[in-house]
Amino acid sequence: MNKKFTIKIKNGVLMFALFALFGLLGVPERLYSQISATQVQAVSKVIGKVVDEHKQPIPGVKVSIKDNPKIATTTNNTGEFILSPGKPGATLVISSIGFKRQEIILKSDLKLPLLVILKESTDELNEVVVTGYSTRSKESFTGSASTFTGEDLKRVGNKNILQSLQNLDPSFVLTENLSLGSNPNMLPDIQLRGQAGLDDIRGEYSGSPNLPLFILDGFESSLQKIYDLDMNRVASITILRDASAKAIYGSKAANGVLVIETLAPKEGKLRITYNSNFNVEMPDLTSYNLTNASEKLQAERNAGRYTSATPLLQQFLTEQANLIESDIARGVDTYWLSKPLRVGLGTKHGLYLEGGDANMRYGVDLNYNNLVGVMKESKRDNMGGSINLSYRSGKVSFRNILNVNFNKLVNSPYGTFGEYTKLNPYWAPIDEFGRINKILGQFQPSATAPIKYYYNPLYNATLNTKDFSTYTEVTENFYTEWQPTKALRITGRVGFTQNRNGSELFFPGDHTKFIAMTGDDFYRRGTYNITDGKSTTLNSDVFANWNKTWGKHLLLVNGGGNLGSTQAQTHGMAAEGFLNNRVDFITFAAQYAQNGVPNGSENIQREIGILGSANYSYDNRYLLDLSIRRNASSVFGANNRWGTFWSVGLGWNLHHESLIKNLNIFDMLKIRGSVGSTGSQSFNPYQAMATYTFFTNSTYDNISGTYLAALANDNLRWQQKIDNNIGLDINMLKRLNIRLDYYIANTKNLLTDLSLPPSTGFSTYKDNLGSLQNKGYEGTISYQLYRDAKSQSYVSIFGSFAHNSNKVTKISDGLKQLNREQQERTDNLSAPIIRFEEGQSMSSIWAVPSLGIDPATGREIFRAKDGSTTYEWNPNDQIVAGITDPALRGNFGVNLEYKGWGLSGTFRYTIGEDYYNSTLVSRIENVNIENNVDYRVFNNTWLNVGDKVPFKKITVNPIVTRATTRFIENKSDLTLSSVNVYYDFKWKNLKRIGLQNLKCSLLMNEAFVLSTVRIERGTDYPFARTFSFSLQTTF
Amino acid sequence: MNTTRSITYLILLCFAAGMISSCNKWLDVEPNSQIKSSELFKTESGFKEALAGVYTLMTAESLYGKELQYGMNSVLSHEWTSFPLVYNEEAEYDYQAVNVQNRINSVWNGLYQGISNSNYLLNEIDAKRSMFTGDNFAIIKGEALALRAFLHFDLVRLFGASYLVDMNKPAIPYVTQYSAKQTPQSTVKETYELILRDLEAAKELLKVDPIFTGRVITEADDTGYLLNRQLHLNYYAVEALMARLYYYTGAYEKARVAANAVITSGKFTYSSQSDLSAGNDLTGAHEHIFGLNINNLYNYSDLYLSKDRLISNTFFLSAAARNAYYPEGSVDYRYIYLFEVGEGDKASNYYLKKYNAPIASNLYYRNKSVVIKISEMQFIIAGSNLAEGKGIIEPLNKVRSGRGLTPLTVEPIEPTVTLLEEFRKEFFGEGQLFYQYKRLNRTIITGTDKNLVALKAYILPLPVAEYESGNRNSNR
Repeated sequence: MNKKFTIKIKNGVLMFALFALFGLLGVPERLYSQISATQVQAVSKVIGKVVDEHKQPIPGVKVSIKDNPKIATTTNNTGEFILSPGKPGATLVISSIGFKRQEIILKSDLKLPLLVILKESTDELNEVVVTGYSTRSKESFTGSASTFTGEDLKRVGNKNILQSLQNLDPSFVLTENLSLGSNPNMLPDIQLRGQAGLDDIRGEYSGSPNLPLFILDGFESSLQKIYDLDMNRVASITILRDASAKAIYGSKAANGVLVIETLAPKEGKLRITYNSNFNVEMPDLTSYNLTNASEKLQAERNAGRYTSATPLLQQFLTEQANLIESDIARGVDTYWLSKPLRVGLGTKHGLYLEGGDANMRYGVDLNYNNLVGVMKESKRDNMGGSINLSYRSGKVSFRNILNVNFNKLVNSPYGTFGEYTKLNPYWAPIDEFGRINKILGQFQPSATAPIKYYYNPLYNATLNTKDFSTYTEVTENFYTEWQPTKALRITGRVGFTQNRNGSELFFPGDHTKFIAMTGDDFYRRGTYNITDGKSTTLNSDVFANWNKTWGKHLLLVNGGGNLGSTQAQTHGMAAEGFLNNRVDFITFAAQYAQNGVPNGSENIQREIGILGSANYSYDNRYLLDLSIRRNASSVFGANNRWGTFWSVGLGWNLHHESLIKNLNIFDMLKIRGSVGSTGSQSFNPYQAMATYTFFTNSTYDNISGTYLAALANDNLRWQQKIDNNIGLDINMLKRLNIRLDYYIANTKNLLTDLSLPPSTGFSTYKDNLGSLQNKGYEGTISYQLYRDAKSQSYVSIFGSFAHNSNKVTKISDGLKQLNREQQERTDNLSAPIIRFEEGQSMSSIWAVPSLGIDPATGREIFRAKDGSTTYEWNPNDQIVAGITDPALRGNFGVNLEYKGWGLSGTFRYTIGEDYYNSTLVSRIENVNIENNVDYRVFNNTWLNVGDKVPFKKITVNPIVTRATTRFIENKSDLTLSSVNVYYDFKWKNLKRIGLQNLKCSLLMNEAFVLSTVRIERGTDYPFARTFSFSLQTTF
Repeated sequence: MNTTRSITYLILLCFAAGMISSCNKWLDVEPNSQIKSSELFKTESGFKEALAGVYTLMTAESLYGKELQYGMNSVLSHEWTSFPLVYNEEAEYDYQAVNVQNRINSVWNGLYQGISNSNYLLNEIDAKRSMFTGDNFAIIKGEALALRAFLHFDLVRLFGASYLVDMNKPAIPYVTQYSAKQTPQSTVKETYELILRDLEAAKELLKVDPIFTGRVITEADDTGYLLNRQLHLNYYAVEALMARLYYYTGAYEKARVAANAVITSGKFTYSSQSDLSAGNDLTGAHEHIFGLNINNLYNYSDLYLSKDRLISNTFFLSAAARNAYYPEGSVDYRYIYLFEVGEGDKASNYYLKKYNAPIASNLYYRNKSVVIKISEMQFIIAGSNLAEGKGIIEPLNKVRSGRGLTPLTVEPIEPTVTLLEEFRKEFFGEGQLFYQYKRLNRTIITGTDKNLVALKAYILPLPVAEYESGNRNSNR
């Protein structure tokens, strides 16, 4: 490393200067008393002060011991620090963003206190990569990884870690869920570098097939836990993308790995940090464009709902229309969308206590998060706490983290938002006395036909419905570390997690969903479902890190093994018959659900792994990373228990080559490449075994019979992904940072259903057959426009981009069967059918080519496979009409800070995505005219012969418009994903009011979305804009 | 935190990680919600449960619970004058219709599921021989073999050409393995040979069957496991199946010998008039050489054969057809006791009570459905005689006298017609008439003007999935 550092240690003069300086800055008395000149020779403590080239103290500088980053502290507001290096001869590392790193060897004759003068630098590179098994210097790493700090996460959002990460890294994508919007109780679906598995259409995976692996403080963790994790607890988060980075996680790493480290307590006197957020969630209904009362009636008339050729019937229908018209005349025009919504006001508090000495440190964390959704009464309450203790004695150190979390999520009693978007505006929710109408309206197509009633979902909200679930999770992690020599460190870890959860769902008998239950079934109205579950995970591993330097050679070796086991169970019951609205306890049920039996599920999984990795570098120029992991898991077939995963990475630090070095432009110029294999295994844990299931509801000759559950496949194995990655890391002129990556990832042995001749006794069989390919590139660029360390001011801009495309390279006949099943589905005809074909992308939109609406008839003209034109929609004429993967996606924005004032704004964009506009289909063409419709129904639908319009004729009973190219649009989005304005009081002397620091910020999330396509966003739960005010302080 | 213990634990883990063999054992998890086959077959009762499982599979509505009895099979033979609307296409022999295809698929899949389960049991049983008590090894293995033969027999009766018409036509695969590997298709002749081979092996094993040896079984004896042999494919059921097989394949002498062996055993007697009139024993539990214990027998009957259900959802017989089927009505037990007249607009509809589980308190009669009964043996003798130009009235009279009818005194002028009419009286709503028509390759049958031979109605098409995944030859 190219480090120039200056240490000025001039004993007497220095002390004098320091005293003078302290006096000037008004240092409290107690600090003086600690800096005793007689302690100069004692090695147990190092005291010092960090200043910049202008002799100004620098607060927040990290001071740590090399080779043992756990011993670390930060300077206070006056730039002072105290650290216990533990042993003499250690190397002190002083680093701070914006300054060059310094290393000081603590010789015994070193005079204290130290005065460290840091030189400014524009080097903003993240210096380390945390892989979970080791912490590697970024310069020597050949993998593709990005590390973000807790501060980075907080800068771009305060909702949850995943949401923030999406704003930081272009390869990390939360797939947009247009139906569930901003439902706080909906866990997001994540893709890291695209889809590695097939869509889970049949539900054969135990989780999402694309879910990355989460490693929290060294242990595998669930998506739910990460979602509920308090962002303030996060020290760093590292995304491991390519084989070289993630192969050490073997059979679970195919979808990428996120390594999250929580804050370790710092030594010193008791420090209390308090974080508080006040959040305002406001529904975003701008994507809706529905008709008002009179427009809706007109739309119904246009569709012929009140038209008949028979005079008598015409009269009958006209009367009904007149009734509605008189209501409209009376002023009824209900904006139903706002009825179940509110402005959600939520709060979040976090309290963190830390302190301790060189040997023993403690951290106590308490947090409460009240996440309030925009649907009335929907919320997610999370309360948790953790105790973090660490103890060091000589060569051995221990650390223990105990974390307890309570969570309760409540879904809105108002039902789904979709119910409200359907309601007609000419219905009134309340009568003239302010009472809620249970029946909103009615329609009778003829005098003899039964009357159809429309019910008010608001009525249900007045009942005692219940829809909530809770969980309590206890995590106990224990770490022990033994460092017999400077070069060798042995770590052992044990992690235990227990999660207990439960949920209740209750609809009283008066709920409108039971209206059809009459006669004998009347007493069965009302249902109650209760489930409870428990899952227990025990993981442990032991590994050793060893390093050796000789000459220009540096070798790091890692080796270890792990064991893990998970056991989970759920049970539940359903009851029915709750005729009284006041009772809301399951014991008031008339009976168990008809023909019901207790339900439940259970699974056990175990795994073993051994791993080894080595990193060699020559002269810090040529780098080689090797890793191998052998992995076995109970979910695989008995013949294929063990799998081997490996990676090879190469890197070349060009900036250390004299030719480039002499240019004096590049601070870093690294080319790296890697190849390797990882696996994924998130599928049903018992499918590889021959198991028997008992008949639960019948016996044979007094014996309870049993039968084979499935055809076992003893050869079943993990899905294997081969990642090829090349990348470039550039840091130029201390201002410009660029990371570029290009990858091709092939997934083999995709788990698919193989169709069997049913004469085998089974119709399908799980096998590793399909394969698919992901290709893509991604990059991040940041540029520092201005920097002034003295005023701690800077302006920087950043941008990132990513592109990913996938292709099915091989599929089994089982998937052909799946295509057929999808084809035969009769629900949701408005959406294109999911279909997998070899050579095509999984994200393909299949639709029949459309030639538009025939002006003569108002019907759509299609082009058949043979080129002829037809009015008939034939599934065999479907072509790949578009691909939903965007051409480019990413983020860009600006971060600036001036004397404590800061602003950062982040945009998220997608460009060039093919999109099937199902809003147009389901709200205009396939609309059920009894429901509310999109305003566009007026403008462009075919009415008269000769109309050249994009939409076909609207009728009372429309012919369903199936997937057609007419509705494929090109979509590009721009989202202002976060704006954060803050003021950090570090420039004020907070000591006077007893504070160490104070920061206030205003944050706005998902402020707006600009899109080239007009679609209804948030059909079952609306999207929300979030504004929040937050306060961080330490005292 | 006990740190020493933790360290010890870690060292142990490290040690364990090195021991691959013990790891593999640790990785063999035992599910709670399902039972691993290796675990199930550790005990004799596991085998009993697996065997009971095969029988239970057979009791499904799509198999012997309905379709292969009074459902699809009886519609195909036009026994009913009225049946649920969903069977309209079967009545027209339109085997491509979606409803029909679904039913055919369920029959094929269900029967092969039973076969696969029998095969798994047979794979395991020889290695565990020493584990069995008493004669249970031979009996369970014999039954499993017999089940495999029985299920294939019904498959070939439905999906194979009639042996006497075209024995060399490709028919069904005779599956003897539990595997994803597909078994090649056999011809009709080969299938019958394989069935016979399994039946012979089963018969040999079942020589220890208490129903054959006469050993007295009590509740105390192995908790009464061998008490209800008629609910299992017992020795005589195997013998009866062999009689049936010989009869179908034209080995008439052997057929008569086997049928006589079952009859002369004297184990199976006709239901008494008093039992029938009291509604105690409508399916004739004492007559069953092999019957199934169908838990839902009454439920299905109540859904599809009840006078209280919608006409469009039920099977029934018109008054005229009932009178035509049973011309000597007033004395025929079957005419008197097995039908019930509807009310109101159903006043001329007659509903079959055969599967309406008896109300009698005697559990012995509950939920027993007929699969093979003693009267079929007489019909096999009669049919064999007929095929050889001999008289048929002697065996037919045995059945007639069991049903309260006077004996026939002269050989009928059209013996084939008489035989079929007597057969229909006896097996009404049991799904057997279709196979009789098929054996005789009747072009025209009562109740429809379709030409069954021209329509290839006697051979159900293989399911599409079997065709496509199995690349099968046409069986029709």
